Amino acid sequence: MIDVRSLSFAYGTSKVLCGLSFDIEEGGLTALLGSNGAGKTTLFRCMLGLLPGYEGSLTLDGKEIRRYGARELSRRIAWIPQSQSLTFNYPAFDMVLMGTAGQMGPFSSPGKRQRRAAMEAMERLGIAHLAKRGFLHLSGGERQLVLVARALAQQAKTLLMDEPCASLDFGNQSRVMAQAHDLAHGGYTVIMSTHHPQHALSYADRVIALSGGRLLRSGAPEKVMDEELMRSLYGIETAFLDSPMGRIVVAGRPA
Amino acid sequence: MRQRHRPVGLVMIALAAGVLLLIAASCCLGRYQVPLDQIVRIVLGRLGFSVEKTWSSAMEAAVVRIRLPRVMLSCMVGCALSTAGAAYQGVFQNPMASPDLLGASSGAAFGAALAILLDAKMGLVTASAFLFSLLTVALVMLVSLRAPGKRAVSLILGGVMVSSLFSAGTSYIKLVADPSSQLPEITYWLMGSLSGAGTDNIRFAFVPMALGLLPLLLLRWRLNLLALGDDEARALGVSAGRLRLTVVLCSTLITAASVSVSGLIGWIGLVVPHLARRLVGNDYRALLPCSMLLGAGFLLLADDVSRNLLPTEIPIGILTAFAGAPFFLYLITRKEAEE
Repeated sequence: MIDVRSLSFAYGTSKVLCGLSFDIEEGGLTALLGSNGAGKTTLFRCMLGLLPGYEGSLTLDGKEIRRYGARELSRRIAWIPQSQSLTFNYPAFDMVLMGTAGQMGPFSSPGKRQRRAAMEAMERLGIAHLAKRGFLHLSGGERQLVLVARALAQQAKTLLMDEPCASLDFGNQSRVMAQAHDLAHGGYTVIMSTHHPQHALSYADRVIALSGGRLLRSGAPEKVMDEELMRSLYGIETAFLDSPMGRIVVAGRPA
Repeated sequence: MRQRHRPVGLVMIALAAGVLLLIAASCCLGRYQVPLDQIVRIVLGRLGFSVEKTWSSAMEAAVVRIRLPRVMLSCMVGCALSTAGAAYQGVFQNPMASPDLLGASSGAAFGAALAILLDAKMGLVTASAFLFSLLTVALVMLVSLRAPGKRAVSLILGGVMVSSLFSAGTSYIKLVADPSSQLPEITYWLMGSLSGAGTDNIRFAFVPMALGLLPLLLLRWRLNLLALGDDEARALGVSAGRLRLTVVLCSTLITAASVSVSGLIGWIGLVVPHLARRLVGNDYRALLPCSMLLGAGFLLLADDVSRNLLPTEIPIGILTAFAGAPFFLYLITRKEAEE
């Protein structure tokens, strides 16, 4: 469904992506691993059509990303950014409703259908009770779920999640991951960048490991994730252990 | 904490009713008192209804030539400046943004001062103010196109720089202007006043205001998306750059039209949108119409005070500053908890 062939991208002279090739099939959760600066965000930005100057080929459903119009693309692929701050506060429901912008002309406002889609998205994630609360008054985990709901209201079937667990507490990390996992097995294709190898190990169906803009490995997490991959990705020693809750990865103390 | 706002529909109806009442009252008020029923009759008569003439010609002249145009122009300018302020705040995602942020006011001031210096007629002063206002903002936008980095930041910086450039120009004109005739006129223009309001002013301002207000009203839901930043908006299928450009152009048009017929009236464009945010929240679907009504009423009230409080008229720019500055202080010192 997403097909990447020798994809390269450079900001000016600094190369960020160097000849990436992989493909992502429909459905399931794909975890994107890599250290800071490995090119995860740039890859996302290419997929979202924000960097049309890429080289190589990047297709979604058989059509080159840069050939999509913004509205057309927004109906296929949705971005769930790290929750940001706002200058002016909006109720959570209004934030979700903004996801429907691509479904109407520039002079229209959302109608009944869009409002229903927004409410359904919030109900699906179990956050309907937050609808009237101000977005800035929500906790980090709740904000993240509101942004996920916005992506669902957008009606796109591919969801790009940019480190959804950044700055979330231990419990909320698991809750957000569980929701992402449910979506990935309920009709959506989820691609998620993460700094937690454990999340990839516990929830992902596929792992794509990037280092310095190159593809290091890709495949099922139990096959590709091992001590050696962790060493080359993060430069630290790790141990993989079996526990009653599944396989776990522990980081050693760097020398 | 829930976001508690009054039902939007009710607020709008109350505001609209308030503005209408204020318009009626403002037509009666003045050194030359005219009873309300006479005003209604005069207006109906003017509109072609057959009404028994129970008023004097002097009364009709006072109402039709002086009072009505002034009331209408106050409403138009108040409405335009408040809408532009609300729109600018959305474009720059900055609660302190106001319609003069990109130099529209200082450009207009320069244009007016220059025209007065050249002994131009009043109509030409207005036109020159309007043109220079647009020219200034165009210059700021050209500068920002050449600057690297965030467009919003370079626009604001460009606005500050070009504004001060034109302010310096205005100061120089004041220096060389004839101190007995031209200088007082320039000074008076700069203070802002609606005393020169006439049908020609209304006709001049109406078209650009309508041209600017209509797209803003149509786009008002989209304005919310500017809160998200360019990349996020684009991922939602909306080109933030194009939207921002449209909104800036429309807001500039209505600001230039207002300033050129009223002189510099500050604070309205900053204070009224914040009052409106308090009333109906930040959703532009409600915020924009609410700002329009509130702005029209607010400036009309200010103008009533300006022409009735003292035997000689107080320039309205001074009055709005008196009312606006304390509110601004309240705004920056109040607690973060918004609701």
